[in-house]
Amino acid sequence: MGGFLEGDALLSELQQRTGRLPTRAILAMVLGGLRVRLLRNAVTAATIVLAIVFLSYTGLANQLSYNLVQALTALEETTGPAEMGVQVQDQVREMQQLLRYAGVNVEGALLGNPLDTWLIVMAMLTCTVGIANAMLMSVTERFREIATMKCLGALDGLVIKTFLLESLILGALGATIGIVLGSVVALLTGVLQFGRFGIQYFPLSEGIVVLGWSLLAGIAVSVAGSLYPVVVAARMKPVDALRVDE
Amino acid sequence: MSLATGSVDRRVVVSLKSVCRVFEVGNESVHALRGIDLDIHAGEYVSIMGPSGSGKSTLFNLIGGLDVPTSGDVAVHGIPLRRLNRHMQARLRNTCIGYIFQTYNLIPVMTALQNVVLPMMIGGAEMAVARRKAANLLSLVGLSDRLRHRPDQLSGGQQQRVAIARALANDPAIVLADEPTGNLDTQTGEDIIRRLGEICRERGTTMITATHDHKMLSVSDRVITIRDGTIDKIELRGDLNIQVGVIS
Repeated sequence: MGGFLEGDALLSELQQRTGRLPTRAILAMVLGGLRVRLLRNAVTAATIVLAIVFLSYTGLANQLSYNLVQALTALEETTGPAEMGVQVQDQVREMQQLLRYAGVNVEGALLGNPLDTWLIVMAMLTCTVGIANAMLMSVTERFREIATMKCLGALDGLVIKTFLLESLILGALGATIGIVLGSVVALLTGVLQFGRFGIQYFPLSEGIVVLGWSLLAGIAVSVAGSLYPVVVAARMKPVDALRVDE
Repeated sequence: MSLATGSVDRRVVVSLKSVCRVFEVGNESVHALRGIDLDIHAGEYVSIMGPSGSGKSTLFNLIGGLDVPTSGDVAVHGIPLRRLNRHMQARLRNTCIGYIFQTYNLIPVMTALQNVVLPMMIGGAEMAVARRKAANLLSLVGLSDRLRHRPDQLSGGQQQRVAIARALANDPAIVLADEPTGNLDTQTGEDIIRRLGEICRERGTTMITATHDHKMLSVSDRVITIRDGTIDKIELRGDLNIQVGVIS
């Protein structure tokens, strides 16, 4: 296979582009790795889950408040006092009361308050740093594995792909759980705060958009956090596969 | 000189010329190798021995292209390693050199078969062909009933045998074994050494080991002793007086 060639014949053989694996093989390797280190990866994914629960919940809750305010305004404006039925009057009063208790700022319902934005940003940053920490630990623990791959002829790109794919899958998994939990929490609090209105005006199409962005955010945070550790892995030298003593 | 054929194969597969390696550790310079000249011939079984700190590991790393000399030249099959870019280095490691480590270094999430298939896939082989060949190699080392076992389900000796099969996956001309028996008991170690000797003889593979294990002497064509960064002595198999516990 090229093992016994010499000189120029060997040189031209060495020009062949290899050092890579088909994507299916990398995926199998990554999934196997995630399964083997399940507990550690679950903890890492939990970071993403929590952040995305918070993100998606805030998005959905804000949208719900906005929907309620819009509905209330519409109700108040449609009919004059003479034609307003008793039921509608009751409903308007009820909604006004609920919104006030919930502390919803009618003017800026969709914008959310600045505190929310700040909290979200901080949550995302904390999550990114947490991912970076976990991935860095993982990379340094697996130095022998990485170095061995390079001794087997893997290019740095293969190592990079492996770890990026790992963080992508973890991010997608964590974010998916996050948006599911976030939706559940948003629905529950919606019902607690606004009773039947919480279900009636719960955002559906807007909700999908919110959840979509939250999912992307979770993946983005996971990948961003692993960029530095991936660079560390790529820089590892094959000689690290050998014993450290002496 | 190859044991089996008796004929002299003087093709030089690894050549070191005036090789020096200096490590910068903090503010100090550590001269690990001070001018090594060495030729290793095709089909030879060479054991590199030396005490801790002698430069044995450094020499080993340079031969295998894992490290770059501070000065001097290392050539494999007539090609100076300096001429190779990273792609070519990787391909060299994949096709020309097989590595065996003291700590086996099998990929833990993969089965024995997958571990042996891996270098073939990296080299661009087709899956079906690779699996067949891997199964053959594993039965060669006596593990045909352990193909689907993961490393944590295998003993040390079995893991090292998988490592041997893996090292042979792409039919390399050179196999580098770094303390292959370091983590094994005497009997298992002897089995591994015997297998390595067989591979050298039957396949004509050049075997280069770095070792403390004197059991390795029984299969070695040449024993190169390193001390303080230079070659202290080179002994041929015939010169070695191998008695129990004594090397003269």
